[in-house]
Amino acid sequence: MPHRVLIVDDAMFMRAMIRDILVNSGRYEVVGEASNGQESVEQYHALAPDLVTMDIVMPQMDGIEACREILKTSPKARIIMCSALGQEALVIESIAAGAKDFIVKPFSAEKVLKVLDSVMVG
Amino acid sequence: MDTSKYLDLYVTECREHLSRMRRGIPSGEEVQRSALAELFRSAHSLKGMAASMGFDATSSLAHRMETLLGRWRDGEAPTAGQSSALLAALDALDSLVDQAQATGGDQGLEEAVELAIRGLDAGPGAPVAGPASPSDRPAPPSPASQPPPVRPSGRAAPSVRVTVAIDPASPLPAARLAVVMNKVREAFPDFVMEPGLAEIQAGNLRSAAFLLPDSPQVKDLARSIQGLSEVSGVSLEREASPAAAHSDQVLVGSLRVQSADLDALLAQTSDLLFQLNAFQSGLPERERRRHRFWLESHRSSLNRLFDQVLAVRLVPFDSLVDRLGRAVRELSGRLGKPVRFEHAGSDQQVDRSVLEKLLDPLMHLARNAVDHGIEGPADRAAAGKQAEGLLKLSITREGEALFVTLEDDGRGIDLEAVRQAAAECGLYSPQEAALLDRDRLLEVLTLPAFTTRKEVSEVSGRGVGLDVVRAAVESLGGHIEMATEAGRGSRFSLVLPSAVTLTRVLVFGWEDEVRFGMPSSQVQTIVDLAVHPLIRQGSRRYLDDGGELLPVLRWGTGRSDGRGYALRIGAPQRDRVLVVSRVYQSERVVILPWGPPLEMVPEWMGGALLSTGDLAYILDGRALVKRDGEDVHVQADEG
Repeated sequence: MPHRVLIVDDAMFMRAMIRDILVNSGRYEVVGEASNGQESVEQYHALAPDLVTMDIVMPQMDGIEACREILKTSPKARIIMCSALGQEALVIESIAAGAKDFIVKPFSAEKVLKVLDSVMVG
Repeated sequence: MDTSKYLDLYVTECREHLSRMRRGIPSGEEVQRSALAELFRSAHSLKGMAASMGFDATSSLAHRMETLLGRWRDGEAPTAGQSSALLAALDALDSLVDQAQATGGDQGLEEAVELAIRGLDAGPGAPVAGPASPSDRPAPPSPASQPPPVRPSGRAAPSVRVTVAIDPASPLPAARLAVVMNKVREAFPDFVMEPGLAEIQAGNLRSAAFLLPDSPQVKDLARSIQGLSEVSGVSLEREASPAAAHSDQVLVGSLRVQSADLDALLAQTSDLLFQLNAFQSGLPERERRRHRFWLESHRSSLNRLFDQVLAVRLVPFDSLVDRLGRAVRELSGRLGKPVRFEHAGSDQQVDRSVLEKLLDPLMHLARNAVDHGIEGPADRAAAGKQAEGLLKLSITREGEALFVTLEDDGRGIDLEAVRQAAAECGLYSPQEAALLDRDRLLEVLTLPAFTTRKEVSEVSGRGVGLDVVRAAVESLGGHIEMATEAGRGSRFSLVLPSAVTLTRVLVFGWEDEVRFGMPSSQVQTIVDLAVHPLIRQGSRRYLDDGGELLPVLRWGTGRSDGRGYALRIGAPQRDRVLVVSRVYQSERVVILPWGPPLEMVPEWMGGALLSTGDLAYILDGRALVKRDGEDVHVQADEG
């Protein structure tokens, strides 16, 4: 059975790209999408996905805060941060907050899947 | 600097110094002048080591000891008060080292340290208390209210150095390392990363190395790190443990093995030997000769392995003796009764689990002796005894048994009071109580809920009586032997069967090929029946051993032609004889207990693998004689 993923990104383009990579692999299924942190927390509780890809810079509530919010009630949540180059400090902050791993834009299908797979295994 | 990886070495060396110092300062005696220089050096070393670890309490206490010892060395005469203050300071240092081993720091014992320091400084001509000289203290002293953080990482030695390399193409290597560190922390929650993430980011590092305690988890962790994205490699390297070089010292504290694991290891080694023998005996003679070299070296390696596993389980009594001595000194000080604690045989080795189970009963007996057995100085003077009481611990091995004996020269147990109390507490009617003999009265002492004390003593505690000591010893398969004499003192011996150790057994058998064995210590002589035939009297047969008629045990069957051997088995009233058909050899074996239900039969001690590869059933001669006991009276009538 494919793993259920919630994709969080304020850019629909990015969401679409990630969705394609995941669905084409056959190992993942996208059960929901959110465009800001606040929405992602609500969706997480509603859908209880196996995995979340979380953009860092977003309006309303940013990714790090959303990450903290989700982990507060679901400490075992698997959250993978999506970052751009030059955001290393923010990524480290998210990891310290409990995010499991991260992927860096521009995305390559191979790298994204490797990160997701390792998080699902570990 | 991270000093935690030196902790084991620190603990080991401190213990060496402390036990050397203790030998140099015998309780209640004058310190030998010649020993002073060495005592001074030990105190100095302790101070320096503690300061390097940042253990300020330990260091300043050692500094005060050093100062006092220095004054003695330079000619000042020690006072009695100073000697005992020095012993008290040694006890405090023991506790500090225990604390360091357990927590990685030396906080939490401020009161004891202050007390010990005050004792040391109290003597005449003591200098105003000051801090240790700055040159010995690289770490700035921290106020007791603000203990420095405990460093849990890598404390347990030996440790494994884990090196993780990040893919050079990784766009965010520091963030990647952060993921790695998170993984480590999931497996080892105490793990403290050095350098921290900020430094990693600033330094643009692409690899990280850290120390973890050596455990099976480390391999799993390495595998899971290797599975992460952008990790190009993980290597594990076992660090030479600093403690390993000192393994012949008292390192009991670093042993963390379940006894059951060692039992399993022992059993597996036995299996290997057994398989080797089976293999060898199945080979045609020619092949066996051809491969003799390899077969023999294989066997000798396995035998060595076997001995080594056995040796690992054994620890000397030293640590227990130290604890006991400390308790006695502390209590004798508190009660104002001078007591000299002597011991002998602390180098005897015993299975670790046995040692642990002996601590409580011995503590209890020692406290009882100081509290109730040994009189106060005034009473002792009136009885014509030395003011100082004597408590003596001796550990000896007699045959297959280990004797741990504690004796005092106090007032002894008042057996008439025991008799009276036995009646009062309803154990016996007054008529019965009047008839109890000495041995029975002593045994009454060990019955649950019996006590000769009317008042409750802070030290011995109410309700914790000899029954607890007896239960502890019996749980080890042993028993207590007691002796007491009014006005002269008491003696308690805890008699323990040797646990898993090498036992010399005599191997014998009857008509078939089955091998039996019996501890050689139980067999006194072997008599050839061809030379000394058995004599029949009534329903029993006897061996005439130089004019002494010894009953033959009804166990096993002799040969119909009357040939064979008679093994003379020692017994309390009269020795017995076991008739066997063959005597094979005598060798040292490990007697492994049968599991239930066979272990319920007292005559069966267990099984042992012989060097020939055969299994031997080991019999307990004493139990055989006991089982035969009802015939004693029959025999007595006849004889």
